Amino acid sequence: MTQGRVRPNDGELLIRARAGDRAAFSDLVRIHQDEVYTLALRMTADRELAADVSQEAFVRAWRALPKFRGDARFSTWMHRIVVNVAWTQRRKQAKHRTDPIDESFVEPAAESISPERAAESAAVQGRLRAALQALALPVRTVVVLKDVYGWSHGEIAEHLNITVSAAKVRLHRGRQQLRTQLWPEVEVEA
Amino acid sequence: MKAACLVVRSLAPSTEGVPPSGMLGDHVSRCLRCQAELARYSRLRRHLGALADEVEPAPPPLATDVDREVGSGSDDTTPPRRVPQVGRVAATGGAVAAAAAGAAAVIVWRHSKAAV
Repeated sequence: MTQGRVRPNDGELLIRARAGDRAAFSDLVRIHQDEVYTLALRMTADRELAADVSQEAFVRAWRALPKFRGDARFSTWMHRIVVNVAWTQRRKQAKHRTDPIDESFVEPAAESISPERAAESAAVQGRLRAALQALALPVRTVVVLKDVYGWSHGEIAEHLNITVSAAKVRLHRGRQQLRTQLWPEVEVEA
Repeated sequence: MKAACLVVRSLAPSTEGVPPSGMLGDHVSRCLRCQAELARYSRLRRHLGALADEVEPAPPPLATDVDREVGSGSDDTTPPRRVPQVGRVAATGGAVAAAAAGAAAVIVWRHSKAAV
């Protein structure tokens, strides 16, 4: 580790990893594992399966490194691989749903907001995570990729092998279900 | 509930924070119920976006398991293509040049010996 730097950046590590340096790739794994695991967990809603998906995604990344041109950031590239791995395991995932994920997420630091606002926000976030988990996988995947990770409908459609219209419909349905779950008390009469 | 409210309600999940325009927009500007409904979806999107900042710690064995998989050298784990490194290329080039120089020296020595 060079003085004045916290750690080598992705670029240096990628060059070394692409040349076959397993130690450099191992560093990349350690840098990105939490982010990768979080996405896998959001998609699968299953800790054990999320760990499997993360591991498989990193192994696929290692194999595919020679093809990685660096057009996107490594983290973005990893996200795409995670989505592909998780999506291809979606049927398996349906059989494995077990433990809830909403208790141990790390809450973001609540800066410059009142304790009441922070408490309310934390409560909503907790309910939101539970509501997300309750969505059907195809719907949850689209909501997570669009509203959490900011993917475009086109990117989602391409990676999930669905049409843009289907992505929009799933997003619409997912948001509707989340809204009903979060604010059922204002579910007004028709 | 008015018909316009029902329309707003059905469109609200896909508005992306952009209020409806035209007659529907006029209705929303006067209808607190519709404004509240649109605001709920804005809050929902904001809360979803905030999830991006939350990171779940990966289970400790993950990195070790990946190391093992990648480093196992098993048939199904193909390492990346080796890219020739500058140092390796230079060393190879140097060895070839030295060999060529040696051969040339032998030829010159034999010629000079034959001439004598």
